[in-house]
Amino acid sequence: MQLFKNKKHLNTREAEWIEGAKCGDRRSQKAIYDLLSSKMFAVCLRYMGDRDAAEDILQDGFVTLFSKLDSYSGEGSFEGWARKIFVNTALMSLRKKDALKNTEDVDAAWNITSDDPNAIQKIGYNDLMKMIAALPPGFRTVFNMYVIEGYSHKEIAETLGISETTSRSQLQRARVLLQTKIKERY
Amino acid sequence: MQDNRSRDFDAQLRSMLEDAEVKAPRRVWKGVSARLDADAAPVASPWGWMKWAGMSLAAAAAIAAGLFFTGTRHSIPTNYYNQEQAMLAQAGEPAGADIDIPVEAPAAATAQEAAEVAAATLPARRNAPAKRAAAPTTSATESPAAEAPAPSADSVSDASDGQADPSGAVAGSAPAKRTPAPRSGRQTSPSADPFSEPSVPAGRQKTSGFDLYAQGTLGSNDPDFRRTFRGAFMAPGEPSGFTEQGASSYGIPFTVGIGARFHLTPRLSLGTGLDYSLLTRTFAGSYQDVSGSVSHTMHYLGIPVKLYYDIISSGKIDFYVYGGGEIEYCVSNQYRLFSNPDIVKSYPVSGPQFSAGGGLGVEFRLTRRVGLYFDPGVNYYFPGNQPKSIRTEKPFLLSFDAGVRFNFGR
Repeated sequence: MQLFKNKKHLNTREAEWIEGAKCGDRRSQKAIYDLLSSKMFAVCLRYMGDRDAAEDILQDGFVTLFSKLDSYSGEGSFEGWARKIFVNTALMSLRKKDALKNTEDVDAAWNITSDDPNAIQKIGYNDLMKMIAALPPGFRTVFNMYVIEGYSHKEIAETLGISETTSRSQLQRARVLLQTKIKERY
Repeated sequence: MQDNRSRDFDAQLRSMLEDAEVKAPRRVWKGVSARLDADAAPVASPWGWMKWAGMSLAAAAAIAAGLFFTGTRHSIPTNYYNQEQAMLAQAGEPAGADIDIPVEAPAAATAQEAAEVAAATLPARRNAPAKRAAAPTTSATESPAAEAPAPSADSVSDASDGQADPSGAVAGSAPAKRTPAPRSGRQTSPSADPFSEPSVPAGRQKTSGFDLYAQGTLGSNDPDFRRTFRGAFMAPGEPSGFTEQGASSYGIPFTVGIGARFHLTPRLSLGTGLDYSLLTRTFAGSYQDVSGSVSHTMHYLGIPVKLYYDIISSGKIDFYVYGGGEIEYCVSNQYRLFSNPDIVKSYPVSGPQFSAGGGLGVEFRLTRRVGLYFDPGVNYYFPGNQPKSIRTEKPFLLSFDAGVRFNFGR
């Protein structure tokens, strides 16, 4: 409790929940789950592209989160710290399934067009998620890591065991595929 | 230009996806909760366990003591006192006066023996037999008591009515012709009954018999005994690719077994059999690059050898001490990492687990051939090439055996 007392990014309730969860208090754990589960489920869905797999990752991620709460120092955003756990859990699962293995360099000539810059705004969240889910796992993973999580290509390359060039090209292809799908739809 | 388009495209997607929320199904929390429960399964503190074991032991001891003393008193037939009163009435003594034990009872082998038994068995108000035993009739052959016929059941009845046959058992009566009483007569003879109890406890008669037993054992557990070996490998000598990333929670060791106990001497017996033990623990860990909750389960088969020494035995209760050792082999050593799908790995364990231990035991005889026993004790598990478990982390373990013995020699 005292550990997080002066941390502006944590409100008192969250600090109490974290301390309670560290001690194994189930109510505190449930409160943290309620706080994060919806956001983290969206993260899991984005990475896994499959609802069942995303549920598994969500469950694994929370178990890992509660077991590693002691390592959260209170520095930085708790949600950001938690998000890394879920992303890592998803990445480990994808790697275990060899989903990221067959990544190939793609033609650099794939470019984003400027036909309709507002097309994205016309689609809803669910449609966009379906399009992302339809991406090949390698493309989807690089896209998520770079565009949403803000990893650099170097970090992605190190994390996934691919070259930076591959990371760049896969990201580009993911963009083009998404744009194509959006254009097809609208 | 292309970069700018890409950045715009990324920004638009990020704005839609970054803070998106999708309600998770309830079953996810149920799964999380169940796994957290599994991780925190053992919840009793070591002191709590010891307290529980102590209370159980105390309760068992109290019941045992009660039954033991009750059993001893019940070995004296109630009609014996009736006969005493009848004899005293005949002799003109008030019923409430000190009662002399009729050591001349025909069942006693000798007056001296009877006196010893009486002195050892009865309380102060019946401590006169030694005085009577010192009377001239100390020889079994010469004793009128020894020569007197055993009173029949009818005579007991008569005696209780205050009409005892004076030629039967009353001291100083005319000796009858020597006719050693048959064993059956001894059992029905009221005057013989107090002394017909063997001078050695019933348990000592178990010279050639054996017991078969079925038992269950709970070992102590110490859930607070959590140690964190972050990144440490599981156990010395174990080729496990699993790495601990958190503390281990140990399940309560559980053993079931069957076996036999052979009586070597009246007090000493040797027991052996076959035991099965289950050891479990859970911890946060990883295998290669997959992290999660890991369940570690070990199955042991063992052969115990124990010596039992009866301290006190009665018809209903035996108190004994025991000590011995056991050799066990781990027949299954499995890790299960909960992930999607679960990672399950088994590793062979070479070498046996030796242990030694001892304790106090009590057996309640439910029937002539069936006894219920409780053997609280302490075991020490010798270090060896065994996987990490509560035994390797805490080699001194309290145990609480309970089981049923079927006796074939009493």
